[in-house]
Order: sequence, then C-alpha cells, then structure tokens
Amino acid sequence: MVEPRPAPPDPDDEPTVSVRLAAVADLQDSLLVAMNDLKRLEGLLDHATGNLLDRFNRAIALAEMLAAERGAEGAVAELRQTLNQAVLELQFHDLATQLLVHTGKVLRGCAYMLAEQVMEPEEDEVGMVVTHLPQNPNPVTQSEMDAGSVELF
Amino acid sequence: MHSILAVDDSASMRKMVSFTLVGAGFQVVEAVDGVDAYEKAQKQKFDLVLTDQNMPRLDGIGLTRKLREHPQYATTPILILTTESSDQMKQAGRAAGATGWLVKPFDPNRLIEVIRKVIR
Repeated sequence: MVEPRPAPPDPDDEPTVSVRLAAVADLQDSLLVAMNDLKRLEGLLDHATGNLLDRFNRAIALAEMLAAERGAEGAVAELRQTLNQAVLELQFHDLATQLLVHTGKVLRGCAYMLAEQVMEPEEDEVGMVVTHLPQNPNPVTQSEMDAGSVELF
Repeated sequence: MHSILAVDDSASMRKMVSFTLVGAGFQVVEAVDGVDAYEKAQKQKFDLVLTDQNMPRLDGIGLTRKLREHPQYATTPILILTTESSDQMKQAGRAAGATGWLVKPFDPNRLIEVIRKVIR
C-alpha cells in the first residue's frame, strides 16, 4: 500500500524570531555598503589591469623597435614569451570580477529579503513573488590560477 | 594571415586574447557580446571564433547556434573560452556546434597551439 506524502509545512507554522526593526535596517545598510565597496574594488581592478596591459603592449613595441635596430630578435621572442606567461596570471582580473559581481548580487538579495520580512510591500509590489538571490551558482569555481582544461569535440 | 573574432564582455580579457593572438601572427577583431559578434561576423568572414560564454544580450552558446545556422560559418571552428567547467555546460556547447571548450584562465601557448590545430 502506498502511503500518502506528508503535506508540505505551512509557512505560517514555521518558527520565527523577533528582530528589532532598527537592527534589520542597520544590517541592510551594512550589506549595501559592502556591496558598494565590492563595486569600487571592481573599478580599481579594471583600471589597474587596463593600464598594465597598455604597458605590456608598449613594452613589446619598444622591444621590437630595438630588435630591428640591433638584430636582437631572439631577445624579443623571449620577452614576448615571458609576457605571455604573465597573461595567464593577469586573467585573475576576469575571474575576480565575476566573483565580485556574483557576491554583490547575493548581498543585494540579502538586503532586499530582509526588507521584505519586516516592511510592508510597496503598492506596485503587492502580490508579487520576487526572487532576489541569483538563481545560478557562481560560475567561478577556480581557487588557483593554474591554466584551465582544453577539450576539443 | 588568419582572422579571429574574439568575443568577451570583459575589456581586459579581450586585450589579453588580442595580445596573445596578435603576437602569434593572427589578425584579431574584438566584439563585446554575442550580438555584436554576430553583426561583425556577417560583415567579415572570420577563420575562427573565440567566444566567452557568460555575456549579456547573447551568450556564447547562443552565438554558436546562430553562427552554425549561417552558411558561411557552418564549419568554421568556434571555441568557447569560459570560467564554466561543468559537464552539463560543455555538453550544451557541444550540442550547439562548438568545436571546443577551453576553461579560463587560458595558457597563451596552449591557446595558440589549439587554434593552430583547428584553424584552416
């Protein structure tokens, strides 16, 4: 005999805790401040990486000019090889940016969820089910800057 | 000289890919997302497309599908270069018609080697 599935728990029966409104507001503010700080960090990384890559290109251009004058093509090839290796490490910027963006979304989602729990919805939000947290997991799973895999189909 | 369309919404990634591939003797045109890439691909025939996956407007897998429907790009090598490493995403890329799946960060020498292997 198949037993009926138990009914899902009624949200109104779930245990609740009392939290002072002021504490929730402080927490929400802190989350938003943290989010803004992450955004600033993203901007700093953008700026630094952009400048660094411009220096790379300039260094190669100068080296090639010198090589043409002094016949040092071998040294230029070695320089380019060395800079190519640095390009692998520089990709930290792209991975870091994706992590920052995703974490920022999680923080923002937490702030909005807190507000939802303690405040009345706005007129245009009544009856809406809003999902504040990112639905997809963070795409960055790397924890080291070793080269990623290559798969040809 | 072979031409490559490099697609990524990250300006620093586009610069790093260009630095690597131009130094290896390829001509590189950059696009900021899948929509921009598709428009550029219709104006100029590229020998290979190297695209990120997670981009606004049109992602890498979506771009791959659209390009495969275009007669000029039915057999052009399309490589997806992305932080995504799940088997599910790789299979989605393969089903869309991608030639290969490369996980970031890329090794410049390995990238050049793979491109030289698949480009015609």
